Amino acid sequence: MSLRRQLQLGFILFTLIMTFGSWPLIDSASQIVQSFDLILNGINPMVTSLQEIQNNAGIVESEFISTAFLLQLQAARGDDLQSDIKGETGEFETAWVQLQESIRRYDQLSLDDEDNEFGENIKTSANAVHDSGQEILRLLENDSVDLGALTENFDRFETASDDLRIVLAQAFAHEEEELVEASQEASLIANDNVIANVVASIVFIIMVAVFGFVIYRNIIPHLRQLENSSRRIAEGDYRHRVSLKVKGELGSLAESFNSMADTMVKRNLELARLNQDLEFQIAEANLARERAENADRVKSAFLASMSHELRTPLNAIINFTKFVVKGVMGPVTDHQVETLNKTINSAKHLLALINDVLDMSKIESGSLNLFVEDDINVNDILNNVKGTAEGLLVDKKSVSLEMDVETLPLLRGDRQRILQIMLNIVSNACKFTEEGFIRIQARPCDNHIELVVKDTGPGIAPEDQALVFEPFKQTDTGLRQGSGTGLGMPISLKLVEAHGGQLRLESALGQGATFYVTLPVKSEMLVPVTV
Amino acid sequence: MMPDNITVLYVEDDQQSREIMQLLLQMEMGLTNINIFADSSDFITRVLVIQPKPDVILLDIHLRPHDGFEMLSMLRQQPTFAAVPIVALTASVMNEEVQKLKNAGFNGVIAKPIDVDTFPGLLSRILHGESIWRIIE
Repeated sequence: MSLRRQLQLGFILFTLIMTFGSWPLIDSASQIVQSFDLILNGINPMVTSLQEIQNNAGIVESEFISTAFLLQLQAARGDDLQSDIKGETGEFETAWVQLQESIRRYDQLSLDDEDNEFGENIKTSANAVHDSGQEILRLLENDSVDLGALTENFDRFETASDDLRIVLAQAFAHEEEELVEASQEASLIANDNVIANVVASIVFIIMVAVFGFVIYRNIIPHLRQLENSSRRIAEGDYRHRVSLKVKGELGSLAESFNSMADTMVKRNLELARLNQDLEFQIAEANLARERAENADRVKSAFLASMSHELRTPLNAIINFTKFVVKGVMGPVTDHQVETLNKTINSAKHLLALINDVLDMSKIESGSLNLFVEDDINVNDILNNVKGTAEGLLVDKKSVSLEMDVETLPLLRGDRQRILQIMLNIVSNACKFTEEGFIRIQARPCDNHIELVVKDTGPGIAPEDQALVFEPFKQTDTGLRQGSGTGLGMPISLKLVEAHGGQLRLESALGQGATFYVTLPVKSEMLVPVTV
Repeated sequence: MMPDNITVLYVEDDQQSREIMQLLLQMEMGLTNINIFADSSDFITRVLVIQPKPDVILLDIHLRPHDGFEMLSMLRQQPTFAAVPIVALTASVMNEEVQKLKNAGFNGVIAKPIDVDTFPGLLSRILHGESIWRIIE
């Protein structure tokens, strides 16, 4: 049976026993009440009415005696006391009416046959007293007293009076008996009631004890076992199981407890396996990261070294050639100078390529470090750019260079990188513009500066504009131009972004191109180099 | 621009670079007191015998037995060279390396390849006590 059913059944049983067990107690209590009711409302009024009869009988007798006395007095003195006697006779009759009244009340109250019998006897005796009394008074009123009749009636009066007293005494005795009987009965029932109460209490205590014991036997040890088991499993004894072979809720609790433990073990195993996998993966990832970092270091070192190694011979090529051009080695013809300058330019282009490749590889490996300084004068940088642009436009007389530069606030950033950005953009403009103008504008704008380079070159088609900023991609025009690395603009974009700025392009085919560079005056992402 | 009689010391292990510097200082700038070391062995002994004492010292960085940083530190330990401008001349011009040079106490850096047209101006500025950290090729 399930625990719930057991508890329900126990409760119902308990309630039933309590209900039926307490019935006799209620019954005996009501009997006690009845007994007291009898005493209070039955016997007590009877006694009272008997006392009333006794009183009234006394009054009748005393009125009779006083009337008789007055009549005798009249006879002895010969006075006419007629009116007083009439009054006395009236009082005797009044007392008699009251006595009759009280006897009638007694009849009404009478409880049993015995009471009725007493009533009849009282009535008979009282009537006899009245009749004989009345007769005596009548005889006394006559002038000639019939002594024989008077004596006879006096005898009757005495007998009747005695009878009445006796009957009343008997009636009193009877009521007393009744009272004792009723009291005894009530006492007896009360006694029984006390016993019944004690018995009921004992039964109740036993039942509670049994009920408690049953609950204790059926539930507590199992709960203890479950508690014990859960503690053991919690302490790490995962192989432990509850061995509880009971039906009902506790049984299924034990079953689900065990299946929970099974699941936990399975989970633990799975977790352990996953953990192992994870550790393995972490180890692998660490290894891969170390390898990658190592490879990165090697690559950086290689690039740095290659740059160094390439620059050293370029130093020789460019500068020896320059000395020849300058005539340090002896006279040179214009034709020779022209050719030698081409050599120099090619060498410089090679140098630019080396620089760009180095920059791009730094950007892609995330190791581009800016040499950040405060107080960078961008106006100076723009002057430098202007100088370079003029040099590039020496042979393009139909292209004018316009400067529209306001005084800019001092900037936080990498001086050389900002110059590099602007040189890239402006030299591109110089390279592609054959006619018209190149305009460099600069203005401060809140907490940033805006640098604008506008040209009247061939422009860039919208679909090609994204290509401009992608490494190693050049537009058709760029490719036709045949020079450049295809890295200048991507590097510029990255450098602008590294400064926390923006670089964008507005152009249409045949409409020229405008590059907008926005740089924050004091970017929070830049930390000045300290020496 | 600058006095013709200044004394220059240049330490460089690359033959071509030495020749270019010789041409530059002598032919272009007309200097006469030019001292050029091809290596850094017995460096400080050789430096101390130079008469008159160099007014400016140009050091290559990657050379043996002592690299540019070691030579700088040796020179700075000599009271007579504590205030002499010392410039690194190197083909390694990555930011990290420039930072290292600056931290080590060089007065400037000039990148290789040398721009023979701007070099005299740079040298003059350095002699006037300026530090040159940014060279645009």
